[in-house]
Amino acid sequence: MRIHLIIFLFASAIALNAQDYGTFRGTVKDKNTLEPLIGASVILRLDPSFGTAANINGHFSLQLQRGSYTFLITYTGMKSDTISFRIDPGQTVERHILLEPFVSQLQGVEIKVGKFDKPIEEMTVSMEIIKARLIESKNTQNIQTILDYVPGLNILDSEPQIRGGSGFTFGVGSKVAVFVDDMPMLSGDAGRPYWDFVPVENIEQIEVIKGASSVLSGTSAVSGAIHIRTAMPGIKPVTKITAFTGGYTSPGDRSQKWWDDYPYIAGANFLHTRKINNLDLVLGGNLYFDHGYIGAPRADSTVYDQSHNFDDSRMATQKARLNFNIRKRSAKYQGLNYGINGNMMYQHAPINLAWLNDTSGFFRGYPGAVFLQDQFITNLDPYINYYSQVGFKHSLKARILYNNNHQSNNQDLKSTFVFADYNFRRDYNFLQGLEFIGGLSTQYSFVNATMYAGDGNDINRFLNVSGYGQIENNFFKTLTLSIGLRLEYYNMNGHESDFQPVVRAGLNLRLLKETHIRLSYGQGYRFPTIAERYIRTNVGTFGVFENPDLKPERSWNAEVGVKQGFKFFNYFGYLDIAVFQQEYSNTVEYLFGFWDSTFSTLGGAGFKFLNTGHSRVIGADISVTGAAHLAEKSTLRTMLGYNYIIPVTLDPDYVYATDIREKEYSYETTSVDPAGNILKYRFLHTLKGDIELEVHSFSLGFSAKYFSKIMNLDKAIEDFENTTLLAGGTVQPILYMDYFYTNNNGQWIFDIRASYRINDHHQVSLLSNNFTNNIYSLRPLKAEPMRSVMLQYVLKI
Amino acid sequence: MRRPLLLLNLSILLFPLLFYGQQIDNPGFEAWEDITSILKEPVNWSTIKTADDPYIASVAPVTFEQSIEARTGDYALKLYNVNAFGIIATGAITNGRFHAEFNIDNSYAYTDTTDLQWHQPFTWRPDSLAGWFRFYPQDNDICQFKVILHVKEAKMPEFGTLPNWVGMAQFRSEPGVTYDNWTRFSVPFEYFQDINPRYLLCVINSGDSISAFADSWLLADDLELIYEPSGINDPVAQEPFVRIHHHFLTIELANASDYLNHWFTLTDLSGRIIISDQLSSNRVALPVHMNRGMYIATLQGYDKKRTQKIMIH
Repeated sequence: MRIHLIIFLFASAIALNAQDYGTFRGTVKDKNTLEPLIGASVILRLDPSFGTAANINGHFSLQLQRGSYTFLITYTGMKSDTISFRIDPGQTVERHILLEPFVSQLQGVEIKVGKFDKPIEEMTVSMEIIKARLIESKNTQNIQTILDYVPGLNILDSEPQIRGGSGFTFGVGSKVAVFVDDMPMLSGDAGRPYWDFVPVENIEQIEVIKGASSVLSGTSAVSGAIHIRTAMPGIKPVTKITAFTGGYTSPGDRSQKWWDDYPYIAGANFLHTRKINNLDLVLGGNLYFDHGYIGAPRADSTVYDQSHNFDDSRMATQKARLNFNIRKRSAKYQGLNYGINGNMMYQHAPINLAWLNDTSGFFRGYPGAVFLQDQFITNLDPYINYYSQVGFKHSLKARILYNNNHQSNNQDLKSTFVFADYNFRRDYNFLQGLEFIGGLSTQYSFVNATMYAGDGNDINRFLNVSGYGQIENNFFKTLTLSIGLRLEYYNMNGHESDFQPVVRAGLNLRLLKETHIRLSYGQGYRFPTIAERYIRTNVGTFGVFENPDLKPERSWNAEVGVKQGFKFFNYFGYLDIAVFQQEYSNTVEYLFGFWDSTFSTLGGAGFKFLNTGHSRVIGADISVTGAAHLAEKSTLRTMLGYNYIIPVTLDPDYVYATDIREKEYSYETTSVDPAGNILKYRFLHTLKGDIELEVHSFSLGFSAKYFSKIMNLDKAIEDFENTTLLAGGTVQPILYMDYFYTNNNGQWIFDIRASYRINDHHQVSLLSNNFTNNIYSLRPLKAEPMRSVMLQYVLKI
Repeated sequence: MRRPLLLLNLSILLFPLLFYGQQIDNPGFEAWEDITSILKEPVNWSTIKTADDPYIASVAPVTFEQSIEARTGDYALKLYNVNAFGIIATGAITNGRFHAEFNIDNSYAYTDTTDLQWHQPFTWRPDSLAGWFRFYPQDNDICQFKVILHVKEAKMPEFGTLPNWVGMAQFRSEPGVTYDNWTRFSVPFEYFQDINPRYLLCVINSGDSISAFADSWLLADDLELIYEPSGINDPVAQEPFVRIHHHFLTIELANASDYLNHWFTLTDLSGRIIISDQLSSNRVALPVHMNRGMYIATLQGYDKKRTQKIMIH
């Protein structure tokens, strides 16, 4: 019996008369692990445009007319298999195919990514991948720390920057979309990533799309998108417990050490996955304590306001998180699965906006610039998927997420975020293998916060509805073309709305066996968040003012790239080079000025989100990823990436605002160094690398990051320093410019790790991040962590 | 405590006083006091750093300092304009107090009649305001010295207190003109009412309060209220309380029996204290040896203060 689910958005299935056909069906699995090879190709050798792909369970099914057939079974990274048979009407031919990995070629490098489950070398966009192995081996407790190793992606104090596409706005209005299993992970009020909420113990891989990609990633993806994918249970049940302990070491300059106790970090992750008949279960969680490397504010004794000197113990981070995934694979209706995922977390954490000073107070907070947050967040994600026997997939996913932030400085917030996405995908074999993906997506945010009363009410609502579609086809196994369209509709508080189409197009040409050239063009679009438009609050002496006239940001990205697979002795890898140009309009920046005299601030002074005009980023990415089998049970894995950008404003003299004193605000007047038109808070050169050598049960890893100096920043920081110094000691001076001029010469950060696998169940590791104990800052006024040393134990059953 | 005699000059001839009258307290900015552990203000003067809103006072920029480039004595007052976020904070000081609000348009200097710390009682009617200054303006900036004599409360700008003003003297330098040497100014008082004032409110600025320029700076020293005998219209003129005869300075309280509550101070025009002592009887004779010049004698009682000018030839 055929089941019809939901709706067809852009296409319809072809009715088949079963009496004229026979059925070829079976499964495709990994020979070693017996894992289903989702998306494995089952294609007719004489006509590669005809075939199908294995579904989430590894099942495939084709209706065939009478005749003899030879099918190729292929999967990236696996040796292909060939199946020949004859079929008659009404007959069923069943084959269970086990593919064997290529152990000598690119193992661990080739992976399938994106919504089309394409091999990465066939992608038409630039994408970087981080696999679970690296995440585990670096004792990743916060997803930001691992993302910071992705070439071209920098995490600047929790704010993702891709290819210099954004500056720094205290995390508000992320220009990078973040998803976990296709569910958005940006807060509904401020577009701030919920990094701590990501179940790091169960990540299968992370895909970072570089460049504007709003067609498939939606709003916020004006400079890129991050897709985090979690793992589902394998054939065998797995229980994994990771316990870790360690701490920070003292800074080299002992005057910067502020603690008297032991600055420890400790915690544990657990994960249990198993299949019970047709039920897939994942249960995970995390307990985490971090003493903190930044101490509570301590104002100088001459400072008038001493009210922000709270106890150091409150600067610790405490987190408890529990998540589950339940998936039921229907036994009755093949290809149907449904389930529900859930996650909940409580966290107490400080938010540090500025350091006390650039010397002895490097690792202390600035009075009034440290907020304490108690957060409870939980979500439930029901979903249903159907993979049909004729090559299409329906997917309906939904989310309800509740977030309750109790934050000092009267910045409490409660929000409810509802998301739903219907996705349809089909491979049209009769159309030369054309693949289509399309869907309808909606998200609704309901936010209750006094600080967002700029529209006259503590309650704000934001609605986003979008429809999207993309077609992709591979011609002669050589040329892949894709084109996509997204239509976005936004409505804020019922009276601010906008409609916007965005497009993308891409091409991937396989010149040689391992040489792929890609061209792509993509657009990005981001509607301002509730916070950017309607925030109205005080931060110490200053205000943060609403800007209801804030316009949406737009961007486009064009690039040409080449991916070359290569072999060098026993090293198999990919060299990827991309040259790109990105342009942004209505760029949103967070700027200090004298905006509103009606608010109780010093002369109307404070911050406001403003559209600052047009900008352009031209640059290049180079990355080399690969592995070498050096000897029996000896493997070397490497990942290296370099990113160079020239980020410039196209409107240096454009006056985008005038304050209450009639002062005009432009790039020229708000920049510390406007000479080269370089955008603020950008690293022109970044280098990221990781190398790991595994010999039998031992492994050694080494990571390096380099950030060149920030060329330009807001002049307000210099003004803050000058003004606070003028106060004669009654205000804590904000000190940065000396650090900027004397220490802002580029930063190298090195991590090392060593592990020993005792047996299949036990592994111990010793890790040190920033092991040279470099005392450094990336974004102005924020100290990065000093050296930490951790001992990790993993029990895997 | 009696201060030691500073100079001995036997050639000095001492003559009885020629002029007398109340003066601005600490007119030569010689005496300074701590307002924080690292910040000093001239005694009897107040800046934005001791304004009535302590929070705003704490965040406000310092626009003054003790200068050793004095015309006379050890110190002068330096006021300067600073640029804070594009706003020009003008160097300003008053012998009253500043009222500060986040909205600068609502800020002013005022006499706090309820607190002796923030006002100077003053009942005379001087003829002129004089003083010495050096000024280094930026662009067309000016410096200003302004004194109002008033009854009841008063503010500057006036904020509706103009009916309480008895008289005013104001000096404004020429726009953009640099006064590289110590320059004396003298401006007459204009009287609005034929009554004696109760208070004196003085404000000094190192810039135009409406359109000041950053980095203009001013040195001020030796403020003086001039009382020309022929010109003084002083209906409540007082008898002198100090006389000089030979090498003795005699302080006499005519009808005072509470002499122990009176404190006598003799300063030169720079504000430097020559003698400071509590009276031990209602007639005290002190030996003095001083250079020729003008001195200010002050007798601070429990509830009133008297000032007298002494000229030694």
